[in-house]
Amino acid sequence: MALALLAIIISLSGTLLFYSKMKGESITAAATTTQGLARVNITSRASINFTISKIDWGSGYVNDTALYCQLNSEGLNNPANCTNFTTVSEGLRLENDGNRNVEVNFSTNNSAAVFIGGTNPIYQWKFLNNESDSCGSKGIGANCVTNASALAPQVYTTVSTTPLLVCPCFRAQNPADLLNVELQIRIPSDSFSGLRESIITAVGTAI
Amino acid sequence: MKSKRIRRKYLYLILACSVMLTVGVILLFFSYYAVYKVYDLRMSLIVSNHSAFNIDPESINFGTSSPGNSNSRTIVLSHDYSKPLLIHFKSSGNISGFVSLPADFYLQPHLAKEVTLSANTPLSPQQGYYEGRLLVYFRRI
Repeated sequence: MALALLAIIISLSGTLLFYSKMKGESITAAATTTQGLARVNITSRASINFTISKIDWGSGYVNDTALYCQLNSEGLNNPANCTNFTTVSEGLRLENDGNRNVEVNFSTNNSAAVFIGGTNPIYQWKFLNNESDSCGSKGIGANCVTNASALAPQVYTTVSTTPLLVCPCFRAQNPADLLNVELQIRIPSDSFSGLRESIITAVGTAI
Repeated sequence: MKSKRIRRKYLYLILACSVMLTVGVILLFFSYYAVYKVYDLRMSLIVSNHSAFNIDPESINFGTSSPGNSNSRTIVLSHDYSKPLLIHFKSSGNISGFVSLPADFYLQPHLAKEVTLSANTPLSPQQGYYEGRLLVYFRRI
């Protein structure tokens, strides 16, 4: 009888302890409040990879009479030089959904020569405030200060394969938390053919 | 005849008790020894027509993602146990189909290891809110 009781107690307590242990300990507050000798800290950094197929000009070709075809995400698609490409009128949009102002760096995984190829290809970007004052300069503490020129480059500039600081203080407050990324490419008549893809990475770090 | 039946009954009882004891002891062993610590973290992702950061450190919030894109967050793991521990990840919820988990690895004591978690949004997902849990196991070897 005693053996049966002991078996039931040990079996039940083992099951309950095992279940609670396997279920895990929840972190509901900032990671620094976790206890114990093992720690998991969630960093204040995030990244987003945009595949350039999102700004999809479709498939087409450079006209025989033209040296190149130039396209951008603001509607540029000249039929005198380009045939069958889709006109794209909207670039990428990036929002700050959180509660923290962030510094934003952008990079691409390839250059114009690798992405497009041929003679004098172009792969450029520019950044604009979709909602005014979304990007400012760093102020005191984690605050942003209004500065219309803090967001850069605001004219088409060759993309960077290394992280480029585009916005030193990307606001989290609605309705000033939305940026536009516009892209422009020039496809030479001797460019690579087939599906070409590029990845743009945006990395946000809390200020 | 009757005593034989009683003896058999006791034998079954002893056998059942032995099994229960064994299971209990094994579970107790796993509870107290094999798993050093488990963390349970909330994960979430919104699938929409644009992308957005959410850097808040209270949970693994991947923010907003549009089809074909991927959003990443990083976590840093460390421990002070006297020997290396095996780190194992497990996810649950409707977000788990989007999240790529790191492979198991050994973590030396007093070393901080940064791990990147990615939510890869397929090309034609249903727009909406996805959530789940990430379990991080620190296992004794």
